[in-house]
Order: sequence, then C-alpha cells, then structure tokens
Amino acid sequence: MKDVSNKITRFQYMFIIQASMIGLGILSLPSSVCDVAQQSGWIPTLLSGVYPLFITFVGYIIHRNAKFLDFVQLNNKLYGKILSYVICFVFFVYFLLQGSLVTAGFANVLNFSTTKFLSPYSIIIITILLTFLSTNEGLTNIGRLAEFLFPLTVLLIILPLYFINRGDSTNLLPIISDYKLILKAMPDTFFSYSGVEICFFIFPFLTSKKKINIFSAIGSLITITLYTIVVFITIYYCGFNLTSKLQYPLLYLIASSEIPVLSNFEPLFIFLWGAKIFLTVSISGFIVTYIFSQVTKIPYYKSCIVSFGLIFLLSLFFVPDYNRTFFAGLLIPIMFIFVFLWSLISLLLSFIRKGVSK
Amino acid sequence: MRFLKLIIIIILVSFQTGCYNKTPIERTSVLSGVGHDIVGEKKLSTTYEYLVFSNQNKITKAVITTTGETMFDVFNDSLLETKKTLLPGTLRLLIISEDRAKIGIQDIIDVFLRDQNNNLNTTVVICKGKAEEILKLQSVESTTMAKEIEDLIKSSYESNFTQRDTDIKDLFNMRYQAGRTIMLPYVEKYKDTVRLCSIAVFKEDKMIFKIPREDLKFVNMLRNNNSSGYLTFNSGGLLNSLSLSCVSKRKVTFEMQGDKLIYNIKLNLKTLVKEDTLKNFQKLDRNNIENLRKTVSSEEKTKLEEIIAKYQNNLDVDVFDIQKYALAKLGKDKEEFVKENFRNSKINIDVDIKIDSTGRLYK
Amino acid sequence: MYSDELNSSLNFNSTAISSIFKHNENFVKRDIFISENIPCQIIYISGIADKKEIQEIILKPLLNLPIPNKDIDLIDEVCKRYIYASDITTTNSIKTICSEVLNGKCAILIDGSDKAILCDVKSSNYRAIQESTTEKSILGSKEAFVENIEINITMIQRKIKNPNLKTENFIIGTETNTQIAITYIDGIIDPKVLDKIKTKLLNISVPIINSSGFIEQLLDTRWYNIFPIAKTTEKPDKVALDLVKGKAAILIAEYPGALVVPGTFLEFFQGAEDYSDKVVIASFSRLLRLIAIITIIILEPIYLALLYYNPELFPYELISIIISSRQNIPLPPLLEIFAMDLAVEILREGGIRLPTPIGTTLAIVGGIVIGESATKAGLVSNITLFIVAMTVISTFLIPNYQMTLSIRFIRFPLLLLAQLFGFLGILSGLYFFILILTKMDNFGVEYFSPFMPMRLSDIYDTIIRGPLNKVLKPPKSLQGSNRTKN
Repeated sequence: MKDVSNKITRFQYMFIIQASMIGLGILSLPSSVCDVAQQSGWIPTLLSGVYPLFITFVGYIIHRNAKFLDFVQLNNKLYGKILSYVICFVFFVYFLLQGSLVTAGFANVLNFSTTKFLSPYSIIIITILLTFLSTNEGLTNIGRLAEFLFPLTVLLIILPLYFINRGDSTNLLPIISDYKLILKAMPDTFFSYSGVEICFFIFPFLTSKKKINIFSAIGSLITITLYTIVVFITIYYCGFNLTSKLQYPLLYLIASSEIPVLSNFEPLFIFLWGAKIFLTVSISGFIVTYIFSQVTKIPYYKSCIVSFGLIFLLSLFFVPDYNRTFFAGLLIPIMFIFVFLWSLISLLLSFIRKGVSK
Repeated sequence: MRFLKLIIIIILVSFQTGCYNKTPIERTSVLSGVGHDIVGEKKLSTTYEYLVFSNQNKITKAVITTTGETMFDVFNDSLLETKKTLLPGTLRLLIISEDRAKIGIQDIIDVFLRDQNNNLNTTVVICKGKAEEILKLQSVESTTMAKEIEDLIKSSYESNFTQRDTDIKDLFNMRYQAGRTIMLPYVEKYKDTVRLCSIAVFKEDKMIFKIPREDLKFVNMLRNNNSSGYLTFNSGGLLNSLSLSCVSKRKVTFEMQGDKLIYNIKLNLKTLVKEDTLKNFQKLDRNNIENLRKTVSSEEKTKLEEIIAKYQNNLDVDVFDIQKYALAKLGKDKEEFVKENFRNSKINIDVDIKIDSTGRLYK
Repeated sequence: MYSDELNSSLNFNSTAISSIFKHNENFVKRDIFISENIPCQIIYISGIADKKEIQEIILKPLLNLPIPNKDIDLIDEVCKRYIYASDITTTNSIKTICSEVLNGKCAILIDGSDKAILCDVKSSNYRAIQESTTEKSILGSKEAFVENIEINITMIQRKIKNPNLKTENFIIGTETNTQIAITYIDGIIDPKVLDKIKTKLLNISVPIINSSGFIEQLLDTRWYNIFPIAKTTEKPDKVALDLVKGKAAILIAEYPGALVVPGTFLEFFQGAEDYSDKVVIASFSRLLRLIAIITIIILEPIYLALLYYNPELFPYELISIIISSRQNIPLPPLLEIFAMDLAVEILREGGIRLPTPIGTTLAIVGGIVIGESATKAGLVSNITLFIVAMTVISTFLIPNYQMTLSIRFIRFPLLLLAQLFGFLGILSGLYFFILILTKMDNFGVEYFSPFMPMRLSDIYDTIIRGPLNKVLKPPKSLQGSNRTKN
C-alpha cells in the first residue's frame, strides 16, 4: 500500500489556497460580469475578493478555537454525530461537483479551442488519470506541485499585460455609472472564488501554525489580482459590449495577439492554464477522497479510486455545456449559501464550545 | 502492475483520438484572401484566393468564385471545387466590395466572430467594383493579392495620417464598442495593381459613403492618434512651399455646458522640416520659426474647421471617433442621446505645430 | 567438514586451508623451520601478494630467528619482534585467512599455535594515476581514479584533510567478495540518509559487482525509473566537492571511479566547471543548458502537434514554407521524425564503439550525409531535418552521460503522446514527468529538490549559480525528507 502523507508547509498552503480558486472562471468571468456591471465589471471582481479573505480568516479562527482537529472530528465536536454526517455529505457533494464541473469544463474548452479533434471523453480520461496520480499519495504531493507550478500563475498574470497599451481607456470610463449594477454583479463573482473552502480541511495538516492569516491573505490576493487583471484588461481591450457577447472572452483576447513562430498565444495559454486545472481538480479530488475515507474508514488509496471514479462519471454527465452551465447555475449557489452559513454557525459554536471546555 | 494498468488505459484512450481521420498537412491549402461580392439583387458571391503548392519550393496561387444565398451556402459549394482542404485560420485579407458593404456586413462580422477557427488578425478592406476582380489580379510583389494588399495597408500609416486599426479584431471593436463608427480602408484597382484611395464610413453595419480624396488627410488627422504623414503649405506659385513630416498626437476632452455637448480636440504635431522654398522664411532662426509655426498652425486650423463643419453639419456622422469620449463621461447608456445631439454639439479644434528640427540646412 | 577455527596442529590447519584452495595454481605454501625446528608455513597467492616483499620482510627475519624462551607466546613474539610488515593482524578463523589471502595478504601458521599471523604484502602492480579520458577538465586537478581502491581513498583524503572524513568497508558480491568503501564527512551528511544508504548496500545480494552501474541499479528498487539516482565520476576533486556538500561516495575495488549518492535531478545538469567560472558566466551556461533540455524534450513533439493537428497556429509566412517543404514527402510526420531520430541514435551508438577520432567523424559526416541524401531523395522534409538536428545538438550540452540517455528517451513517449493527443498530449506528458519527479525519493532525499519541496535557500545553485559563498554551503535539500518522519 502507498504511504500517505498530508503534511504541508505554510508556503505550500498559500499556493494551494491560491490554486484552488482558478478554474473555468478565469475564462468566462469577464463575460458574466460585464453582462451586469458593464464597463465597471472589474470593480465587483475586486470587491468580491472579500469572500476568500473572509472564508480563510473564519476557517482559521474556527480551527484555532477547536485546536486544529480533523474536519470530521471538528464537526462531531461542534454539531454532534448525526449532523456532522450530513455536513460532511454536503461538503463531499460540493467538492465532487467542483471537481467534475471543472473537468468537464476543461474538456469543453479544449474541445472548443486547441484540440478540436479530440473527443471530450478522452480529455476527461487523461485529466482524471493525471489528477488521480497526483492525489493518491496525499496532500504533500499536491502542496509541492502547487508550489512548483506557482510561476505559471505569474505568467498567467503577465500574459494579459501584453495588451496593456493596445486598448482604449474610454472603454473603462466612466469608472462607476451605477452602484446598483455593481452590487447586482457581486454574486456571480463570488462563485468564481468558490473552491477556497478547502481551507477548512487543510488547516490541521500545516506543520507550523504561526501567522497563517498572512499566508491565507497573500494566497487569496494573488488570485484576486489575477481575476481583476483579467477582467480589467478584457474590458479595456474589447469594451464591455463585445465582452459580454463572448463565451470565453479571455481566449478571444489571447487569440487576438500576434507573435512570431506561433500565430497567437492560445496554445501557450492552454499549456499554462491546463496545468493549473490539473492542480485545481486534484485539490477538489483530495478533499472528496479525504472526507470519504474519514467517514467510511476505508483506506485512503482505495477511497481515492472511488472518488475519482465518481468525479469521472459526473464529468461525463456534465460534458454537454448546457448541462454544465444549468447544473452549475442551479447547485453552486445553494452549496455556496450552505458553506457560508456553516462557516458563520461554526464560528459561533466554536467560541461557545471553547468556553465550555474551559 | 500500476504501469500495466496505465498502459492499458492509454491504449484504450488512444482509440478515441482524432489522429485517424486527420488530413495530413500536405493535403491542406492555405487560404489567403476572401472577397465578398453581391450578384444582382439577392445573390451573394464569395471569392477565395489560396496558395497552390505544386512542387517543393514552388508556390503559386489560385482563385475560385462561387455564389449562393448565404455565406456558408457559398462556402459549401466552393468545397466542391477545391482540391485540397482549406485552412481558414491563416486568412490574411478580407475584402468586401462597396455594393456588398452597402447592404450590410453583419453576417460577415457574425461569422468571423463566432467561428473559433478564424484568425483575428485578418486585414479588412472595402474595394471599389468587384472584389473578385481584385483577387484575380496577378500579384507582382508577393505570391498572392491578399498578401500584397495586406502589405499595402500595413505600410500605409506612414502617409496621410492613415489609421492603424484595420484588422478584423478592430472591426469588431468599432462595431461593438459604445459610440464608435466603423471606418475601413478603401482600395481600388489601379493599372495592374491596387491602391489605397479612401476610407469607407459605415453607419451601424452598413456603408454609407466614402471620404473624398482631398479630405482624407484631414479626416485621418482628426480621427487617429499617433499617426504620421506629410503636410505641405503653398504660398502661391511653384517653388514657393514648405513641407513638413509630422507625427500627430490627438487629445480629446469632453464637457457638458447646460444642454450643449462640447468636444475639444487638441492636435499636437511634431514636425521635421523636409523642404523649405518659401520666399519669406529663408533663414530659420528662432523668431522665424515662431512666426512660421503660428502661420502654419492657424492655416491648418482653418482647414480642419472646414472639414469638421462639412462632416458634422452636412453629413451628421462622427468620422472623428470622438463620441466615445462623450460616452465615457456621460455613461454608456446615453448613446442615443449623444448621437442625436451630434449635429448640435460644438467641436473645438486646437492645432499646435512644433518644429523639432530644420534638417541639415540652417539657411 | 572442518570447523572454522584453527587448532594447534599445523598439519591440520594446512590441509584445511589447502583443501579450500584446491586446483589453484597460484596458491603457494612455503614450509620453513624457525628457531628450534618448529615447523612453520607461509601461505600466499602469488601475483596478488608481492614475492619480493615476502622474502624481505617475512622470510629473512623468520629464518634468522634466534632461540626464544620457550615460555612465551610464539605468535606474539614473532609479531612483535621479528616481522617487518607495517600492517599485521592475527586471527584464528580459516574463513578470514582465506578471504585475506585472496586480498593479497600472507598468512603465517606456526605449529603448536591456534592463531595465524596475517601480514599485508599486497602487490602494487597497478596502473599509475593518469588523466581522465572521459571527463576532461580545462581548469582544475587532472588526476583520475585508478583501479586500486586504497589509492582512490587516499586521493580523496589528500583533498579533504579532515579527521571527520570517515571510510567504512563492506564486502559485496557472493562470488567475487568485492570490497566496497563508503566515504563521507561525519557531521555534514545527514545520518538518516547515511543509514539508508548503508542499509541498502547491505541488502545487496548478487554474485558479482563489476562497476558503479551495478551498484547504482541495485540501490534502486524501482525498475521503471529512468532517471539516474547517483552520479558516477572519475575525478577525486568532484568527489571532494560533493562530500563537502553532504553526500557520500561509494568506491568499488578494481573500478576506477566513484559513485556519489544521493543524486538530485538538477545536479546532473551541472558541470563541475560551473563552480570555477564567474557567477554571470556560469549562470549563463546553466540557462543555456536549460534551454537545450527544453529543446530536447519538447521541440519535436511541438513541431509534430502543430504539423498534424494545429497547422493554423503557424503564421502565414511559416506555414507556406512548411507546406511547400512537405510536398511529395511519402512519410507521415511522425514516421519522418522517428526515422531521422533513429538514424541519429544509430550513428551515435556506432560512434561510441569506435576509437574516439573516428567515432566523432562518423557521427558528424554520417549525420550530414544521411540528412542530405534523405532530403535530396525527398524522403524527409528539410524542416524536419532541421528540427531533429537541433534536438541532437542540444543533447551534447548535458554534462552527465546517464542523464543524456534519460532525457533523450523522454522525447519518444512525448512524441507518441503528441501524435495521439496533440497539445494535450504534450501537456499531460510533461505534467506526468513532473509528477514522477515529485514522487521520487532518493535515500530519503527528494529527487527534485530544491524545487520540490521548494527550499529558497538552495535556489542559488539550480538553474543559475549564485555567489560561491552561498553555493558551497551544505544544501538543506540533502537533509532528508519530512516524508520519512511521518
């Protein structure tokens, strides 16, 4: 049997937090945001960055009060056994959905852009295989991968900057035309930061617990910057009207570049972003596996096979893009509210229980 | 054991790959130019210019034309004629005839924006007469006409302050960004080749007119930032003139005074003296240069004011690309309002010509 | 049969030993009498032991032995008063006698005593220390290891004058009883890592050990691992550098080289000259090497993927050149690249077996001739030839021969993946490759350190080379992993 090791350092934690949020959102976010907030789309994106900051901060406090127990034990302590099972099940479904939605979306995007000739099913098989191999020995490997692949994120931030003097500032003006629109666009942008909830699970694995909030904040800020820059540059270059028409505005933006040797950045982008997607799916897959093996007491490696089997099957179901967007639109908000409520109630309970135990 | 499983999965997946029905690259043909025409009242016609590789190191071109009801009707028919698979991603030039542009180009914009296979760096031009005829010309400086016209457009910004935004992605921007007008280069057949002769101006997706040759330089100067060209001032008779090579910087500000929309265009021209045979300004010292500068600036200003009056009042079209500044200030939802009030709004022009160098000569 | 112990009868002892060395023509027994007719026998293997030395330091004093007092211990007396050998031990085990005699010692058996004296009279008929032919150094010491393990250890000791430099001996090879020595600097090397190396060495059980390659493979239990886990070198100065950084060197008797363990992935791309050059120059050549590695791994797959699946990604000017160069080429791109690669690999393999000057000429001339004729004949397009040639030339930049083989190998699976899945194939191939590096653990040291896990303090000595005072400290990466702790 494989050795499983879940210990991670604080830097690895930071990069995991940062990577957990990058999914399909980076491609399609500008479109959905501009549809509502028009030229000010980048402002709600920036403001919604409060969400990952809030979640990581609350998660830390809950765990600190509960003395860094495992997630399942933490719920047992806070909510009792039966409720704890329900909560674990919901989180299990949430990350299962996250993983399979991202996998299916990745297959669709590849099928739509660089590898049109492949069937989405073979893309899903490859993705699941690689993510399985990166997850089957625990979180330590994922942490190391996240750390090593971090420079790709920097490149993802730099790539849009190629367009910095090719746009037109009038596209961004007036900066704010209607406050209501910005507020209305906020929920959509919140969803793009979903995935950060994994912090609830990984706090106990940290080797050192000093100054974690700073690491959480930096990890979240990197992704917030990435998202804001992407939305900002897209609007700056295309204008909000065109942006909201496009399915994947960032791919359009990148395809319009002109560089020697390759006619555009698109394959390069798919390269960078694809590696990130493997990582994101691995992180979701890890959480699914972890909950599964903790609750059912099945060894980690076997749970891993089961979990990735489930992700695989669900992704097959999500392959038609209308299925994916429909279920994403239906389920993610519900899950999202659940996670939010859980974090608030747990925060309260953790303070109360802490008082009791003293 | 694990690796055996892995290999089995890879073999299974490999049955799913696309490499079985793939056309090899040597059986593809590179599409270089597409021309859109209209035949009679209702029939569309499209001309495809593509490269023919008959032998190693020998490249020639071929042109085919088909007609039909819709763009893909036409394309479908053209595939019956082509011997090799056409690669659409390499398209260099999209050429639309004036008649076709006048009935609207929304279908072309939609096709090129929708289809992921299409390149976003294709140059777009409008032509006089039939696009088919232009593509059928034998190119002198390149293999294909498409490449030749692309080179023509790409190098044209050196004169006449011509616009640089001539790619199809710029067309999409002009179409969809708030408060903008589509303006595309206009070429015509000239002797055995083509030349750039004007600019086609659109309203929404329909072409309405082309700018006359004599106004071209001034409209361009007002519309484009960071463009370059030559200005000549003649004070009567031959061999009595001043030529300047200029780089222009345009700055537009917008303000609202009551109900009045006021646009301020400030043009900064950095110039080099290229020729000076003016009788009055033989010696270019500090005083003379200052006088010269004032004279030419005011002369230029009057010319530009005439142009503004002509296009604003007579034609009511924003060929100066300034409405976007109004929208940037008022909000994107005021587009209708700005367009309606364009004729009544006030456009101030301020020209500042700076002489940076007098060249090798002093006197 | 016999017990392993000697007893006090010389006759018995002699027969016991002789029966082990039956049919051994080199086995010599010399019977003498010392003092008052005490029978004595000298046993050695001619060729391994030096005859002249035996005459000088053993026979001469023994035959001139005056009558000693009968009460004293004869063995002790002989050892302490008469024999001139500097290295002398006594034993009562027949097995030890046999193995030591085979190592070039000479055994003295005296009647009436149940012990034997072993004196070191090893023959020194070895190759002299010469310059290395495979690892030429421009600056730096010229000497290279020889077949004699003691001289090799001495060479390292001369370079590291430190009492903490330890050497431990092992005997490996059930048939050959080869002596293996492991040297390290105590206090610098991580004890956990050292323990792992020793345990693995002790677990080796094969009949014969011939070279460092044997040991390297036997230390690695993963047959599918394509990356070298230890560095072989012929030069004591390189070994000294690695020992100071906290590694151990394994020396093998009768093999002119050392195996430096544990190896990390990046060090196989670092030349020893890097440390003698200036910071900027050394960093530049390391970056150049990085580019070369990337070229070897992905240039051909990317070319194939573009050609086969995504020709629209070539710019207009390039695609017309490529299509026109591929007109009337009968082979599909994959086979074309494979054919050229195969030709080049064959030339290289052929070149290795030939004497050096001819080998190089064959590789170059053969390459030019085959490439030229293949393009002339229209079998291969000239752009493919260019791509393959670039790849092949890049392989010469990797300093380590074993790593060159591994990296050259990687591009074949990647080519297949590119053919099957285009860009996704390349992406997943590279990701898989990184996964392997992530999971690999080499004697408790992460193979891909200091990148995985990231150790910022060691980053100076990776794809760039920082100032010497930062680089020469023992790296943290060699301090064993957390993985083993859990």
